[in-house]
Amino acid sequence: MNLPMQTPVVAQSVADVSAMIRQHLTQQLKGDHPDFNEEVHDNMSFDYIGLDSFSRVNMLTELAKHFGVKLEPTAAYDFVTVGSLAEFIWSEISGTPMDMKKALGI
Amino acid sequence: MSLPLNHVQTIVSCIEHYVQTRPDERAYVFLEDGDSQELSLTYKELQTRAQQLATGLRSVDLKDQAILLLFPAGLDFVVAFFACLYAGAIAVPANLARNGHHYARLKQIIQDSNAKAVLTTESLKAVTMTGLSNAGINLESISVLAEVETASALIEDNLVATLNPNFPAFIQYTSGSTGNPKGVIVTHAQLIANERAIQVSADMPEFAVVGGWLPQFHDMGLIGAMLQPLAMGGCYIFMSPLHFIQSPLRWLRLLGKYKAVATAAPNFALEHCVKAAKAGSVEGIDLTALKTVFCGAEPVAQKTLSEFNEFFSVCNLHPDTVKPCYGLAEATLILSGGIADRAPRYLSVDREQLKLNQLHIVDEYSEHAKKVVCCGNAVKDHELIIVDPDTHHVLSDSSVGEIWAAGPSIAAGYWQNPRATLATFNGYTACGRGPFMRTGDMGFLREEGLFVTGRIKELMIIRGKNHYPHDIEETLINVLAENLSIQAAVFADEYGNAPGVAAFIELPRRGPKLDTTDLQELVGKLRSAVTQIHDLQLKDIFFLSFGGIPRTSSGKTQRLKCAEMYQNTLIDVDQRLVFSTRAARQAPAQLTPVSAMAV
Repeated sequence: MNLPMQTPVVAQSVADVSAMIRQHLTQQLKGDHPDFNEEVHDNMSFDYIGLDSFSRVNMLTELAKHFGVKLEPTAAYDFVTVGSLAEFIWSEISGTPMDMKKALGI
Repeated sequence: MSLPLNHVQTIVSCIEHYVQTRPDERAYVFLEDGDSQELSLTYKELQTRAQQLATGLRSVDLKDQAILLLFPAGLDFVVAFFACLYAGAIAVPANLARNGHHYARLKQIIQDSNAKAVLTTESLKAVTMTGLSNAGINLESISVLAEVETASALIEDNLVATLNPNFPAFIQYTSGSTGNPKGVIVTHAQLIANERAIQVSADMPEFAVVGGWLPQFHDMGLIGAMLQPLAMGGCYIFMSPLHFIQSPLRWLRLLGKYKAVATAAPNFALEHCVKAAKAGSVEGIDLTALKTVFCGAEPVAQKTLSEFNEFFSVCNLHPDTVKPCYGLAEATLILSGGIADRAPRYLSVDREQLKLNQLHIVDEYSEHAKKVVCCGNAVKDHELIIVDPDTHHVLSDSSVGEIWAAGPSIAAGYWQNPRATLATFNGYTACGRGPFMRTGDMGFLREEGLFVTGRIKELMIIRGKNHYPHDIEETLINVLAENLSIQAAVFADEYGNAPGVAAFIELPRRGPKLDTTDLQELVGKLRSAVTQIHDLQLKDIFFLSFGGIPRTSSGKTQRLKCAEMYQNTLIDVDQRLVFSTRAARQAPAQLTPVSAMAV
C-alpha cells in the first residue's frame, strides 16, 4: 500500500474522519481485495467487507500514520464498523470521550 | 555439550533445574506495548505461579483432565500452560473467541477433548462464560477458571515426581470442523524430544535468548518459540502478533535490542518486513547476534529469502541466518531444517513436470522454472523417507513422492479418533517397515536435504495458518442453508499478487430466481461469514448452475481442477457460470442484470 498519506492531516469532525476512512479503505480494497466493488459506508462492518486480521491491522497502521495518532491494533476488533472506528479515532484526535456502549453496540 | 535438556523426561524438569541454578534470571519477557513496556517472569516466579495454579487445579480434580486455555498474548498463558503440565492435566491451547462463530468452534473442541475446565484471565472470565453459554455449552458441566481465584497458596510437594512422560502434555487442534475435529496428542516425552531436535538443529546454546511474536496457541509459536528457550534455561522475549503485524520492524528491533540468537516465523513475516523496510528506515536495527531464523509453517519462497537477506544485510544479518525448515503438528513440530553452512539452497525445477510428480532440474531462467527451497536434513533421531502414496514403495533420491516420517517426536495420534490416527500414524512401506507418520505432503530428498513440492492432503496454508477446504465449504453451505441449498468447493489460488482462497458455489437444480442484486447480496453474506469464522477473505466467488462444480465419477469434489479452471480462466467462459466477482470487477460497466436463474 503506497498511499500518498504520510503527513498527518487535521480532521475537523467525526464526519471528516469517516470520509477519510472510507476513502482510504476504498483505495486499500482496490489493491488488496479487488473483488469488493461496493461503495463503503458508515454502517458497513469490516467482516462484511471481508477484511481479515492482517488487512484490518494494516488499515489501522495507515490510519494512525494518516491522522498522527497512536492506535492499538486491537481497535480493529473492538470497533467493527467504519462508523464506530471513525468515532473512536475522532475521540483519540479530539481528546473527547466517546460513548463506548454505543460504539461497541452494547 | 551436555544440556539438562538431553536427559530430562519432561519440560517441567527443565524449569526445576534452572530454578535451582538461576532462579532470578528472567524466563519470559512480554512487551506489552510491542516496544518497551516489559512484563517479566523469572524462573522462580514462573515455578511458583505455575505450581500454585497446578495445586489449585488438582484440588478441583482436574488431574488427567483436558483444560482449554483461552488467553490473549502474554505471560498469563505461559503460567496456565505450565500449570496444566505440573498438574498432570492436558493443556488444550486455543485462539481467543471474538464472536459467536468462534464460540461454536470452541464448543466442538470442548466436546471433542472432553475438557472439564476453561482457564482464562480474570477480565475475560465473564465474557467467556456468556460466549460459551450462548454457544450451547452447559456451564454446570465445565468450570471457567481464572488463576487469581484458583491458585492455591500452598503448593503440593510431589507435583513433578508424579508426572508420567508418556502421558499427554497437550492437545493441538489442527481442525475444529463439526464432523471431524482432529486434536494431535503430544506427550511430555514427544515434546521434549522435539525441543532436543530443535536445539541440535540450530546448535542453540544454553541460556539462549529467543525473540518472537508468533501466536502462543500455534504449534510453531508454542513449541518452536515459547517453550524452546525455557528448555535451555534461556529467555523468550515476545510481543503480540497484532503488534508485529502493525509494525513488523518491531520484531527485528526486539531481536537486536535483546541480542536474541534465534527466532521463528513463516515466510509471509519476512515479506512483511521487506515491505516495511522499503517504506521506512531500518536504522538502529543490529542483527549481529542473531544466528537462526527458523522459517516454516508455510512454503518458503526463494525470492523472499533473497530479498530479506538483501534488505537486512545492512543490519548485519548473516546470509545463513534464515533457515528454512519443515514440520507439522503431527510431528510435534520440526522434522527437518536447521544448520546451513552457506546461503539457503534451492533448485530450479520444471513446474509443469512437477505437477506430474516428475523432477526435472532446469535452468533458473527457463520459462517453466519453479524454485524449490531446501528445508534441510531430517532433525536428529528422526527419519524421513519418500514413498509412493499408492503402492507405498520407498522411492530413491530425487523422486517425488509422499513424505513419511518416524522418530521420537512423532505425536501419539489424534485424540479419540482411532480411524484418523490409523490413517495418518500407521504407514508401513511395501517392504513392511514402519510405522511411519504420513505427512500428506509431497517432496523429494537429495543429499542437501528435503525439498517440499506440494501436498496431497487437502490443506491450504495462508500466512502460516492452516485452513481445510471442507471447513470453509461447511461455513458457506451453512450461512445460506435457511433459504438456499447450495454446494461449495473451496480451493487455494497460489498465483496472482497474493495467495488466497476462492470459492465455487453451485446453485440448486430447482431454486429461486436470482438476479444480480440477489447474487451480490449472497456474496456479501458468504464473504462476511468466512471472514468472521476463518479470519480469511475470499478472493473470488463464482456462482455456477447445478452440476457446475467438477467432481469425480464417485462424486468427490475435484478442488485441484477447480483451481486450475480458476487460474486458466476457463471458468469465466464456462456455460454454467451464472455470476462471478471476477467478472463483476473486470467489466463493471457491462454488469447488466442477467437472468441468473438456477437452471
